[in-house]
Amino acid sequence: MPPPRLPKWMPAQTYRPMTERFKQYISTVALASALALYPAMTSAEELGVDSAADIRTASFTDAPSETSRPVTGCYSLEFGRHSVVSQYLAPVTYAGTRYAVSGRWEKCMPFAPQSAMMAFEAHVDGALSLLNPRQNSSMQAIDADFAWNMRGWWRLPQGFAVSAGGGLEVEAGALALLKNSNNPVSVNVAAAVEAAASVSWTHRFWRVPTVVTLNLRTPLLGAFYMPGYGETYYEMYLGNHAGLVHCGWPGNRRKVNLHLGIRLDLGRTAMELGYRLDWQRASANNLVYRSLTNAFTIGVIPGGLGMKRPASRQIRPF
Amino acid sequence: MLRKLTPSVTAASALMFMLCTACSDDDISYADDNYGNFDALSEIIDTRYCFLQEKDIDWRQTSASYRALITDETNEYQLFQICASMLDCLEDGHVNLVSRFTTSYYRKWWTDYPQDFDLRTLQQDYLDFRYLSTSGMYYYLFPENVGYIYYPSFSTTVSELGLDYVLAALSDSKALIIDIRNNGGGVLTNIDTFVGRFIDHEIPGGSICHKTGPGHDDFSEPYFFTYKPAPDYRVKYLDKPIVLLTNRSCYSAANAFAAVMKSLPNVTLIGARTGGGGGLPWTSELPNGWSIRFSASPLYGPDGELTEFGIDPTEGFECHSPADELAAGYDNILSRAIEYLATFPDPE
Repeated sequence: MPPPRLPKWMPAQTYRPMTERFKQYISTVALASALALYPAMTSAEELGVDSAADIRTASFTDAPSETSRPVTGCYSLEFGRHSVVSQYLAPVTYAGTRYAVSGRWEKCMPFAPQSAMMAFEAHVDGALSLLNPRQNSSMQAIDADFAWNMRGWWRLPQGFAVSAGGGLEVEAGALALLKNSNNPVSVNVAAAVEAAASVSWTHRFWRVPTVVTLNLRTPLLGAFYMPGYGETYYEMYLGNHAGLVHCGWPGNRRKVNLHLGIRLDLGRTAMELGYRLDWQRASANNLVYRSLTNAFTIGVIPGGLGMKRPASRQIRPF
Repeated sequence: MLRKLTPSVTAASALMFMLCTACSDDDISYADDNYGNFDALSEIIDTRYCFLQEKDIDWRQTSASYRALITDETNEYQLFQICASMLDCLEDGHVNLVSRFTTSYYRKWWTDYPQDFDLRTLQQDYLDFRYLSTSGMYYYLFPENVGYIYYPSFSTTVSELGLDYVLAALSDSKALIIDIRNNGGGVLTNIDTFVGRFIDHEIPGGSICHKTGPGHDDFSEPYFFTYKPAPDYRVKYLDKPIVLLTNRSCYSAANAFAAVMKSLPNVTLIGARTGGGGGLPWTSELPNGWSIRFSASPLYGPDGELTEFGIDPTEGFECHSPADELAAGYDNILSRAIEYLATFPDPE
């Protein structure tokens, strides 16, 4: 077979046939995977489980605490209706479809796997077109929310478990109404100490282990940004930053992030179907920012929930 | 089991209902009909417009008199005309009502005054069509060794490098004319770019404040700002006489530029009083989607005077360019500036 003709811009010494490049790619990936999985495989052997994937399950069971670094990660896509009023931009409600990706990582704490857990949540969402009531003007939105909290959890009879605790929340987002002159963007930035709680109920439906979970987070005390009632960005650009950051408390910034999820343990993986309600209202400087999201969520939990094991050996908050 | 769950489910349902329905009064409370839209517009101006007191406008009375013109049969175009006529009472060029079919303007701030400028006369009879242009500026060197820059719009961003080229080309001139006639304003940050080239130390730029609430007296404390000189590696034009040419059509950012340039000791304003526009515009919205733009943040000059009503030329330098003279190829304002600057000695 004649050698392939090289493009003029490609030096001859850099060209390798596709099959050779594919082989090298496969070998590189295999090597990287082996390096990445080696510590996990080692831990898996110590725990006497079959694979690195099982370590998440095993770690919720009777593993020694010093090796218990379990992470249950749930990765979700969300979509739903979002409505927002930012009086800095316009005094009417804009609404539309909002999409999000989110992740929630939970683990029992090594020092008290039976009663303490930690959770980290990340949520990034956006809307390309939120419309006013007449649907003749559109707004764009983007928002990111990160929360970390630590909770105590208690197992109750009848498959119930509850948890309660607190943590930190950071949120940053923006609404853009680009037809506006000197007030085209409404920035929503906040950081707060939050309270977090949950209720879960474990049950088997048609032999499928199922966990129904209601998660609730709400900020208690923190700080948030709100521009002046009629303050333009030009004035801020000139250097007038007075009165832009406010102490947030339930009297002027209320937010509820509520997620109702049904997790179906399918063995090596689990699936979560859910509903999220995210409502917040912040008021300062005679301005109000209010948003409401009702969204459906669908997520996957790689590694599953480990519920195939006997209930007596499970340490699993959710 | 159900009995145990009932209180929890009830509480959760009540919470969700409360959240879904809470605070629905945050958005505008007017209906999307003729009266609702008119009342929304009236309230927005009443609570957010910043010059009601300076212009001695009884807005509620004004609003009531125009509201009486509305009936249930008033169509969308008629409603727009009624609203636009009401807004004309503010006598503010920054006020626009924007609909899908038209935009309202208050034009009398310049239509009731002589234009004092003709671009063709300038290009043909003074610049001989041999001017250079960059960054939205025309520039030229008159035979009297007087440099000339015409900047027609602050909406065109002046690049630092472009200004370097312009000022370098005119650096050997003995004086400079900056012509901003017919400049209707634009981006205020262009003022920083310009002014920084004509100063060697920080100077007061004026002050700005904003409304802090719906009351007519609800204003923040003035925030005083300054202009800083351009970095040393930039080309500057210092210690030489500068003339700024103005007419009634200088508005908004051009008006603010005139205010700060007038405060420099080597700058003379020649021409007519500027058109004003000393309130930074803000935009809001009516229930029917029309946008309303209006002045929201008053801007004060370095002398503490409100710039809304325009900037006067330097005392003794007010002059006009009558239309018949312009048509004949003579620009009185520009000619006077050249004559004035020609009296200064050439640089060594």
